[in-house]
Amino acid sequence: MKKILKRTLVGLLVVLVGIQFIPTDTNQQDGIPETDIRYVYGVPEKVLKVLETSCYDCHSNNTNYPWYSKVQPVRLLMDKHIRERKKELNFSEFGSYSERRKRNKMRAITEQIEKSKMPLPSYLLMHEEAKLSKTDKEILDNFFNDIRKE
Amino acid sequence: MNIKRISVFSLAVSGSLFLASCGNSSNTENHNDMSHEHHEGMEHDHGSHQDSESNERSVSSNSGELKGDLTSIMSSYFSLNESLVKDNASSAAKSSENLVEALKVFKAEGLTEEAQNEVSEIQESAIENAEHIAANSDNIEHQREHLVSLSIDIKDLIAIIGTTQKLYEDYCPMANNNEGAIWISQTKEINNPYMGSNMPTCGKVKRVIE
Ligand code: HEC
Repeated sequence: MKKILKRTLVGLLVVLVGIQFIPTDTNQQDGIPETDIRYVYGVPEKVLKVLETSCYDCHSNNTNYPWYSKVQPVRLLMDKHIRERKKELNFSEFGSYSERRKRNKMRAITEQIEKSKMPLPSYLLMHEEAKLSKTDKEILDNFFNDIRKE
Repeated sequence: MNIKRISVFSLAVSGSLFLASCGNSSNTENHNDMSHEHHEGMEHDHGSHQDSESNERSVSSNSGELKGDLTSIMSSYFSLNESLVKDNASSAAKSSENLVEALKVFKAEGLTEEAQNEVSEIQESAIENAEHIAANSDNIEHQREHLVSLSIDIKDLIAIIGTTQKLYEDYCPMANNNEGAIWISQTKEINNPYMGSNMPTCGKVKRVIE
């Protein structure tokens, strides 16, 4: 019985070590691309700060990887999720969207914020600082509503 | 040996699945308390900017001649709306799948380059919106959010391509979190896809499209 347990643990270790060698994507870019939303509109500093703290990990070309993301299979899952989120909305490429798509996205952003759906609750478990306060919500909401109505 | 291997793998796999499940759990939360949140949280000036959005774009108006055949796009769009009027999210998703297909194959004819670019952008946007509706067969609230943008796409598409059918642009000020939203209908009477059975007749005809 003890032997079985030992072999199981060794087997598990081998798998865990093995998957660390799976190649990964790194969602990081040097500098800020021209298409970043801050160059599309005059985004006030306080708005930018909230976006960077609460949204950029998932919706930009620059993810701040936490320590545990160096470990598989966490990283594999993160890569997949980041691809999906960026397809939905990517603040680093906002400038390349058509006017129509920009407006759709701004409409979606205010909806998600007003209904407290973003950032995802599962993310907030590990990222206390990304939680939107009432003031943060108002800052984002006012900003996006204003440029949307221009 | 085999059994052990299997158990090791299943451990690793179930671990991964556990981690994978954390990403997408939020879709259906917050349904019931959203109206409260809205009232308590944000102060908007609803009166002044009601539907400026849907008017802001000057779409090159159709000059009488049809620039393409919108029949299958419109019929999927209408059946999508009928499903939402009945609060039926899964049949809305099915209609929206058809709508995605119809949008993908649509080709406009005889347009200026500028108008053709506009049509391509509308198609791209409408496809994205319709795909969301198709993918959210369990989340009618999210389907209705995307219907707001989709209906603007459809309206703008009709303005460029033209229609032989008499259509109505309807407007409900309470839809879309009290921001107001439009939709296109074949009938004069109001059947509101945003409010569903709560308030099926909220809204009015804003414009007749002929
Ligand atoms: C933990 C990662 C994560 C963070 C942080 C995050 N999002 Fe998202 N977001 C997602 C995922 C995943 C989706 C797509 C799936 C979904 O809709 O649930 C998404 C979708 C969206 C959409 C598209 C919704 C639609 O239906 O078109 C918007 C808008 C959005 N997020 C805005 C934001 C904003 C604004 C913030 C910051 C306040 C933010 N997100 C922070 C993961 C994240």
